[in-house]
Amino acid sequence: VVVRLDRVKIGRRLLRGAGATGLTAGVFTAGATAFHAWIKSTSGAWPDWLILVMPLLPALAVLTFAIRAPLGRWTTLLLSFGACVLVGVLAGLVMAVGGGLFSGAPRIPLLLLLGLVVAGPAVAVMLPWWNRTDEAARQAHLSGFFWGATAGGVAVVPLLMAPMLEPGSVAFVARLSPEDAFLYGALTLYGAITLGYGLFWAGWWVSRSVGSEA
Amino acid sequence: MRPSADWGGAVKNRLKVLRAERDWSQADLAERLEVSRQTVNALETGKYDPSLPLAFKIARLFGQPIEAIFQDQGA
Repeated sequence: VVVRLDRVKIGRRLLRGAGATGLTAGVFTAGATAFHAWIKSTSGAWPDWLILVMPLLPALAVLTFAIRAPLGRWTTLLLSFGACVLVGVLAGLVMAVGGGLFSGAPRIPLLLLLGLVVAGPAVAVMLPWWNRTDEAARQAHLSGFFWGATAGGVAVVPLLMAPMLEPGSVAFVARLSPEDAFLYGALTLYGAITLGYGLFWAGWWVSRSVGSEA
Repeated sequence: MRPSADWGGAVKNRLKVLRAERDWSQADLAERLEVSRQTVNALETGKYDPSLPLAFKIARLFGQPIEAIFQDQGA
């Protein structure tokens, strides 16, 4: 009975984590798809702010569920999500205005600068979080990145190389421009790494939780 | 494969017994050690070995030498 109770708790924790990640991914995907469709119908190009914000969201979803937030995890998740979108929209505005104010300015350095603007607060949040995270939780994250993320990255390499080794073998990629193919490839790799990390992280805890009473 | 921090613990411990003797819950012990309850759980299952600082902290809390609480399985 004791072991079953413990498993129920683990199950609830995993469900909450999956729910938060699913909610974030769902909201973002719906918004991004609609925005992308609109952009495609107007200028036909991916908005830069969307590319900036996209990799942050799964990381935020995982992070906000790992921290002991004083406001509560759901509130923190929503605030993080809102802040993330706000930064993205601001970045988009800067890009739009920049077209007039900084006409001729190189776009890649501007993107890097915006990346730094996003990375600064992210580090400011993560450092205190890492410092107050206990050693087992840190070990779970480190093991997750070393084993899970590496395995996830390696596992997706054949898929990423297939269009190069056998052109036309992946119909979806064949329809993409080189720029879009590069972007989707990067996102696929990032997604695989994140998934591998998440699975190993969860497995690390589950394997060390079963068999002890609460 | 030799147990490691990634794949499992190499050290047995009496944490569960010592905690039960004091009628503490895992949450009580976690609060005293300033770690999460999940960490106490992982320690008690013997599948996670604490760092030296945490081992010393545990020894101080229970008023016993480290070797009275932790035993190396390879010894």
